[in-house]
Amino acid sequence: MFALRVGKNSRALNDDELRGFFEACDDVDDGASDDATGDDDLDDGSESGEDEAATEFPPVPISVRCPFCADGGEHTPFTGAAGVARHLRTVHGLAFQTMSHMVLLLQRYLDAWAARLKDAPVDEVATRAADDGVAVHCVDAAADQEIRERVQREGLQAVLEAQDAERHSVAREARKCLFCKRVCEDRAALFRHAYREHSFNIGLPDNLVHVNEFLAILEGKLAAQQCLYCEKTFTSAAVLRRHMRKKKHFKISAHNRLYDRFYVVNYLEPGRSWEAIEEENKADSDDARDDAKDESWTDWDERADLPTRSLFDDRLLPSADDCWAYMRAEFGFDIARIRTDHGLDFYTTVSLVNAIRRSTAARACFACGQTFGDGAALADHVRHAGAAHLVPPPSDSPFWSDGPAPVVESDPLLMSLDDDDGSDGECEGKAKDSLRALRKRLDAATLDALAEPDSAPASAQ
Amino acid sequence: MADAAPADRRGGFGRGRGRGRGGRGRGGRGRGRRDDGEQVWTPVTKLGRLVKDGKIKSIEQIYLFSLPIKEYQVVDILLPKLKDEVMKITPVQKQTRAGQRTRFKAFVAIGDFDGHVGLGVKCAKEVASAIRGAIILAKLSVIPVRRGYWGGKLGAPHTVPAKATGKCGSVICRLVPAPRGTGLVAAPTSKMLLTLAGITDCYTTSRGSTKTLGNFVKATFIAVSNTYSFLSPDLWAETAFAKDPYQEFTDYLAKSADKRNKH
Repeated sequence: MFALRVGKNSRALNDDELRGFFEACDDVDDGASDDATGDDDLDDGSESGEDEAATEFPPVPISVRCPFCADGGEHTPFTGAAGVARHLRTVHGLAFQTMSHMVLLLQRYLDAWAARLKDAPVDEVATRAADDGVAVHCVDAAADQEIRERVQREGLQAVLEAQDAERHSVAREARKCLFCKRVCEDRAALFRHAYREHSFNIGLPDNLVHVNEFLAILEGKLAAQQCLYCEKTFTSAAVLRRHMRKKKHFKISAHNRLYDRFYVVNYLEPGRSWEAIEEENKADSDDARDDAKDESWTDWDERADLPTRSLFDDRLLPSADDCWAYMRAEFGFDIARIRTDHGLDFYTTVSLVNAIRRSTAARACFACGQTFGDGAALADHVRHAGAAHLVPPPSDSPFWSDGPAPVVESDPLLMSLDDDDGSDGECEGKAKDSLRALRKRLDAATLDALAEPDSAPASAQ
Repeated sequence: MADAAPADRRGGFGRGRGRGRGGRGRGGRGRGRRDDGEQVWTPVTKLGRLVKDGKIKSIEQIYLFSLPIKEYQVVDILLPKLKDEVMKITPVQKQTRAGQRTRFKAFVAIGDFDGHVGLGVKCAKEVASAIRGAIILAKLSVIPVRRGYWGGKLGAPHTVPAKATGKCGSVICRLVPAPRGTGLVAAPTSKMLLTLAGITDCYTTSRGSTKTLGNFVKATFIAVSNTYSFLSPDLWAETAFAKDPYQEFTDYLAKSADKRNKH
């Protein structure tokens, strides 16, 4: 798809090899050859005005299963929002006012309503009305709003997660440009190239989601010789190219709702078009007060729990603390007590945990060295042996030979070792103990002195 | 190619507004603004001027005197190999007169895998602007990381030199030196931050509310920056104080200030 532009008197026209190129676009009249300079001054308004009046966009195809049908909607899914509304009205007698707003999240919305109506009878949340002779329940605005907001929040989270997953995987792959042969090494490079070389702008990649699907749709249209902007079809690729260049249609129409689902901004506030949101953005001024709140890290409130496998059997606990508690309850394995009893510091505890993991993997009990046929037998042995048995071997045994070598990658048990007692040195711990003892004796001395003022006990004041 | 727009007429792609959908034929082109993806940087701070003119060759000179960095291009020039990593985008709601307004908050970590890390947070109405703002703030917060050895001094430093703690909110994160080959024993986001810092082996322990991952990451960052706050015996030697860059280049700064004022 390469078009060379040369003047009428160029010597290149006499060249036999190159003639093939020029013959392909020979049908272009010379007036068009200076469109690089002439058409620039055309305003967007005049162009787009006449184009959009001419194009009618086909309705956006969606695929939704009706959750109210008894069989879970196993029959053919609906392909249009109008079809769903009609079905709900005639078959189930339900009417939702705001269904057009939730087009992007329609499946979630209907599922949420189905769950809600399963618990509460219809009349609680809807008012009966007669519409075209058919009795329908029109859903109340208040109940609807609550469900709508929940669905919208969940939908936005899902979209952001999908975008995040894309950003770390698919966006790093190479992809061929839509308009030329060049392969760009990742998504950001692709968008930059499309803008610089072809002035094709569909937005920044960080504001889009499901981008590969989006690009596939556009590629499909181009392959079918359909213009991306005005949706007219042309007879051949060369003619399409010429049309797009002349009319500057290297863009997509802002009014075509087909592309709505690829832009994250549409999931923010369903029901408001992106134009309204942009207007509001322009009118809104970011005041400096917002910057102070910007710095807060507490808005990111995911849980940091990691699933942890128990040391003695195959049970997976949701977090490290749960795992310690489980092992304490089930097997009598109390790590805190073992640490204080034997004076284990951080590194020794790490070695202990790793060595236990190693011996459990070899189906051996770490305390007595007995091997067992399978994991269940080992777990039973540990369970019945009790806390007295689960004692780390003495420091000269081959148990400790590997040192703190890792066994499981990123073992959450190692990340939850509380070590402010042993770490800062044994002496500090001992100092705390002696201080406590002294204080006790001081208290005791005062009481004794009160009880027997005459006898002076040896303990000093 | 004939398809390309003349460079001097189109608005900046990805600069300025960075709109999400506006580019779809609806005013994606500005008038009269330069577009080559980058615009020339005119520094406004003395430090910026010194860096741009190449008088300061490494970022360690800036760290030595604790000079505040106010322009992110300074970090760009001195640390060209920085790689950014978007950790999370969350929607954040704010109550306004016109109802609730939702914005996006981006959390970004940046590092060069060799001793420098930064963290940035930014809230904006569009995902792309939030990410861009957070990357700039992350570059401004880049901090050096001290690495040391667990046992003998063989090869390159691979772990933290001593136990380091960081606290943010109610979360306490502790980094403990680990022998070579241990790898990073840390939660996935912490692990990413430590890898960006260039630490290869480390044990991490954390206490406090594990529900706020944000505070946890910030605590790890503070712990990592505390590695240079710890005075270990090998730093006991007397320091020979040097002149700070403003003093050293004071003539140069005065000269270029004069030149600019003359124009």
